[in-house]
Amino acid sequence: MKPPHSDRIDEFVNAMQLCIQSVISGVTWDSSKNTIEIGFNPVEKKDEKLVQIKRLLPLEEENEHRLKIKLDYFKSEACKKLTTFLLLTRMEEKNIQKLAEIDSSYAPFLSKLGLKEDVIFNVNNLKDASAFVFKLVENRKLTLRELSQKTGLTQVALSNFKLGKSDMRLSSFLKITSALGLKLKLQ
Amino acid sequence: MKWRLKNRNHVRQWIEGGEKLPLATQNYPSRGQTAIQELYQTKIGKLFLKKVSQRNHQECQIHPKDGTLAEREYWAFCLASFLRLKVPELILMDSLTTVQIWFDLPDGRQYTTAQKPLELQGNNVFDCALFDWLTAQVDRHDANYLYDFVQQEIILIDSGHAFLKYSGSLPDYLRIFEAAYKNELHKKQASSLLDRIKNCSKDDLKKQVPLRNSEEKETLFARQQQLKQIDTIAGIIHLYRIG
Repeated sequence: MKPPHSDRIDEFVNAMQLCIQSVISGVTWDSSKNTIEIGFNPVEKKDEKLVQIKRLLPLEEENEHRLKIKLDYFKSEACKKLTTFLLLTRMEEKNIQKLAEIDSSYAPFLSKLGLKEDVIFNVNNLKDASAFVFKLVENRKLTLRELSQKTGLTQVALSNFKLGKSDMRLSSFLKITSALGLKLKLQ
Repeated sequence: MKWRLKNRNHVRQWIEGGEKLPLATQNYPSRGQTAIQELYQTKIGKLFLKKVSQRNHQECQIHPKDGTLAEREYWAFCLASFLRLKVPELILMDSLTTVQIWFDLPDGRQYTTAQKPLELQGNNVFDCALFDWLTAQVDRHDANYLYDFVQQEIILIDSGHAFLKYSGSLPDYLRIFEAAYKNELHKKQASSLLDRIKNCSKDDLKKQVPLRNSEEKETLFARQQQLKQIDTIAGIIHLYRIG
């Protein structure tokens, strides 16, 4: 027998499965306790995204193979919000940060996940700036070619900046920060 | 690590060694034109397998002997790669089956339904529209492109309905762009993709897109010629309007 709010449960489980590596083996309803149990086939390595999602859920019980949530949660606005959050971000950090920037109603998820809303990075010299920018490029899995396409700067210029071989014009640097969606603050 | 799908046997092994994720695609927006859609968790990440049926071709009035939907999607991928347009890596497993790397991004429909209107960039829209026009894509609805809201870029997927001799309707993202970015419609776009299309020889096109139907082949060449005169998004929209 299907539990009440089964559409909401399905949507949530579908979105969750899109994010995590562990395979969801089944969803069962315990009508006596009015809880939903989601079972997993765990992966060999730690499933970081599953760990993160657990932080966002009001869990009744959990272990490596299953988690239990009150059935009522699935009819709540909070569940709807989390389902959308999962669907849009797929628990990728860059997506999470951007979504919270676009829509502040997602900001509480950042603090629950331990991600600060603003990362302030002090740049004292060219090496600092280059290291920060290219760490971000690496995190976003961007290639130099893709960055070159986004900024209109040559790959050679970008590579020289990365390796600290040459200085960079402020206008070029601003093209990079803009392409990466960074905000510059001068104080 | 960026995985490439170059070897069918490897892909088959990855899928066989992986686990099917039936729950992930339960709400996947299919319009009934794909008989099987399966998502697998594999050692290289999520892989999406699509198998079309003979009936799918009848519904779409496509003759499989000219090129199945799967073959057309693969040719579109080959051409996109050749032109250096960012699309998910894809391999043709057999004449009816493709496997592609799954991108962890929402599609246009999911984003606009759950969040807000798309914010688009002219150069990205121009490149996608060039490609859709060149490939005579007739099915670019809102679930057939992904939306990277960090980069504010769209990424074309599910390009199987391509290389036909008849024209399709305006791609969904072009409709959005036309309504929301009126000031940018006539802006000249500098596009390295357009340069590559212009410089693409007939032999290059034939190699990437080995069409079997001579009319479809001629349509592809004719579309390439039409794009040589285009440098704005309004120009591409005009091509759709004049058919």
